[in-house]
Amino acid sequence: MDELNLAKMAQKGSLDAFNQLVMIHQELAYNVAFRILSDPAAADDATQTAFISAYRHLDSYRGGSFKAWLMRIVTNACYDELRRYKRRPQVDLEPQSNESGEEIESPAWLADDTLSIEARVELSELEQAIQHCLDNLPDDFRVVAVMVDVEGLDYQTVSEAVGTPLGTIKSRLARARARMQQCLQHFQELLPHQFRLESEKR
Amino acid sequence: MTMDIKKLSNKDWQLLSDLLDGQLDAAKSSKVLKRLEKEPALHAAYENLRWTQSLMRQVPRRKVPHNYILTRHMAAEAKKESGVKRSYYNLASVLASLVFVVLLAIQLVPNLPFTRFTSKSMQSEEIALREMVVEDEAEEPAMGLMAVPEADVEESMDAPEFAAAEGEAEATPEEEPMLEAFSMEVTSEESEELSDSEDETLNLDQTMVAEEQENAFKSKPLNWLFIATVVSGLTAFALAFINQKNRRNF
Repeated sequence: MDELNLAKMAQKGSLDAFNQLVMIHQELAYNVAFRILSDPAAADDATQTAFISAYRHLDSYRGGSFKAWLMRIVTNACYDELRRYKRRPQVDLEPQSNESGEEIESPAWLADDTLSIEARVELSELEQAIQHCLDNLPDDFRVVAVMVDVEGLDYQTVSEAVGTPLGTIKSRLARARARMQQCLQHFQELLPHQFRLESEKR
Repeated sequence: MTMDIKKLSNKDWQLLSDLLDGQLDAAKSSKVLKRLEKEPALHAAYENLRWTQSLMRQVPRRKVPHNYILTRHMAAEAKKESGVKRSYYNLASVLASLVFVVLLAIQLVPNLPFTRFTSKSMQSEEIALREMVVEDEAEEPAMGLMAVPEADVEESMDAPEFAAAEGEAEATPEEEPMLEAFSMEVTSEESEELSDSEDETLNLDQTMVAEEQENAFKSKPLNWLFIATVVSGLTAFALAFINQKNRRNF
């Protein structure tokens, strides 16, 4: 069954249909929230809040891209979290260490058996570098950069999700990319060989 | 090279970004490609953008910590909260709008059926005020005539007619008709002069009092009505805005 039919059934009161939509989009929603908020716990909260809010406001969905509609709710939940962050003292976003000095929490993908230890470490370095640069972007730029460049969403979906005209999305993306490339230049030496610029590899 | 890249304008970055995503039409695209061949800084910036984008696409996706499906209980709670909140805002918004419309109608159209009571009471107040003014008008001239200033009394004591009046008692019976005629003549002249000057003063006072009362009548209820209308209008607008915002922003 396609998304539109599932959404219509959910609007008529089918919780199962809504939960099917949740299963389809939860990974995207969580990853967008995580890259915007840079904190697993906050991303978890924002994602849960977004799905509850989506269920509550199902009647405001009037066809079109369900993904874009849902991403708008996720983005708003993230903005709410960011505002809350700014009101209260910042918490260390690095994984907490226990008494023995081991990290308590590590990304789930690090436990992926299909990747070699070396590949996992390299990806971890790349992820940290990119996350650091994303964190230094203004909120509006970060949202667009995450959606287009990290999650690969198209401009139209992002425009609907952010509630901003296409031209503004393009402009924000261009500026976000300019800043990202400038920031990532500083990580050139630290990045694994295959992630370096061609001109720098020689 | 890095320095050259830094000199690029926002417009150039925008062009490169659009080129990277295939957002330029054929003509613009070939124009930018030609510039890339000629301008090494622009070319380097484009390469950097491509590299940045490819890095960002390689960022691994995180697995969700748990499923976000809603239980029956969560769904029921979500709907309940939403219903209560929305109905509260709707009701408040409707009430404020209603009050605003009624107050506005009272001010703009005083003869509407539902504003009759208010306009009648306003009319009766006006009538009462006007009656007060008329009473004052009636009382003041009488008071003016009764109260003769002391200076006037002294002056009149020195006047020949007063002397005539004083000597009235001593007048011989032959002189009486002559004196009577003289005093009657003088009294009528004096009262004419007095009434002319008093009339002018009274008219001025009456006009001022009437104006003050009319202004007080006009400004007092209108001000209150106006303030109430503005407050209710603003409240209605704010509630409608919050309602709309809640609906739009989830």
